[in-house]
Amino acid sequence: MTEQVRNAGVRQSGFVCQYGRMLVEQSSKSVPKDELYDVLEQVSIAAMDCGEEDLARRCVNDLEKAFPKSIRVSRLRGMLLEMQGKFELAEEKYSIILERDPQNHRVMKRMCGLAKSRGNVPAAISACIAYLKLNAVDRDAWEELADLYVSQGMCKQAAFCMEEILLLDPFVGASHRKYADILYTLGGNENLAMALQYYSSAIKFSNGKDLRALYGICLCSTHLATAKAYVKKKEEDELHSLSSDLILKMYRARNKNGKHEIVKAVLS
Amino acid sequence: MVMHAKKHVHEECNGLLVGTATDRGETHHVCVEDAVPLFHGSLGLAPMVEVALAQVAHHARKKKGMLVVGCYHANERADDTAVGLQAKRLADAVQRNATRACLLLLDNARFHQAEAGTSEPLFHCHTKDGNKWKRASTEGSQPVEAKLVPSTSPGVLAEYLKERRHLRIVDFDDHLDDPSKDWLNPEITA
Repeated sequence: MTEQVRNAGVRQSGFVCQYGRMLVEQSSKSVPKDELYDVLEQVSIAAMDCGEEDLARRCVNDLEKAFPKSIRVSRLRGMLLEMQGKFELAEEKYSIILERDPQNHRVMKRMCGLAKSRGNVPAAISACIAYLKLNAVDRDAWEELADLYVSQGMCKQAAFCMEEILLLDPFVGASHRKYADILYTLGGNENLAMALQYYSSAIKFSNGKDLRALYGICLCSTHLATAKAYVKKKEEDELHSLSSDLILKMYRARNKNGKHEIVKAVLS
Repeated sequence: MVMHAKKHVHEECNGLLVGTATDRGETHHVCVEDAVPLFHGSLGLAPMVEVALAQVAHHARKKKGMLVVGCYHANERADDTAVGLQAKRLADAVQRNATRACLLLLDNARFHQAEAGTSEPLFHCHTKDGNKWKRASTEGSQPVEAKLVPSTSPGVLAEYLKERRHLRIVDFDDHLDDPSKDWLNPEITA
């Protein structure tokens, strides 16, 4: 089961912690030798997520015994120090690793995570930018940077990050929609008109199933309909009408708990 | 509110408070009857907040003759006790349509005591003072008193957490991913 969670790349820390504890306590009996260290690493991280310090410490200690000079295990020790609130020691640990291996991308990311743990978002942004200078095609890192900027209300900078993501991966509907959300949040007629276009692409890439993008079209076209100094385009009314119809159709088909009436009233 | 935060332990999350607001002499009385979980994860973008506010306000009005009287917020970090930008934004949006909205901020330090049925408050009430959201105080020029009713709530919450009901909580985010999911969560507190 823990292998399935690892392979799926999902974060199910509570589940991994609960069952991982049993595996770790019976390590020699229930886990094949070649899998044991992957399980220890996975369980240690899940335990850190859930605040289970004793379990996390045990896993990291076992890994250190098996691999005393490993950078990978050293990073886990750094993460455990973060969990214990020993941020300066964690930073020292990561700095030592980066001296040995300056382009260790996992530890560079940990520097960003460490700054976030300390509540220092500007430092997290700087660490993320430093990482992206060496790893400019890391889509997830651009998204992390976009989220950091959004958390600070810096939507223009967040928009730039989304533009980089769209260059790397132009056919992902969720990215078009997120860019549109940022443009809408920035506001102004020009941004709303552009948001409308990107919500439309998100709908196209999702075969009309992206409910957020459909709502986004309705929001943009409603604002633009009454905007001053804006030359309305005929297709904006059509887009609003088409999107509303699609939303209501989706609710009629899938929603049995009365939300259709609420949505109909709010859209009208 | 606590169950929503328990489901998304490693993220910030927020929601709306639905209830009544009345004036009794010089006292403005707000009674929170229900909480609607909204979002988790990255909270800073406007569009879906506007959609959620409109739908929850409409539901409150039509079903129960109530209104959106406030919001709640749980910060991401355990040691973060501040009313951050995202909490302020949602609270300001609610305040624009309410006479005197309240913001309930989760006490992250006490959060883990919920399973033990603690009677200590797990949220701190904030109201707007000038441009800032400040912790409610019974002193000062505009005293605010916040009470948890009924007193059996902590025990009930502890039972729900033990049964892992919080894993079934649906917020507006989940609903947008799958409209068949109900953000009113009728079966959770049934």
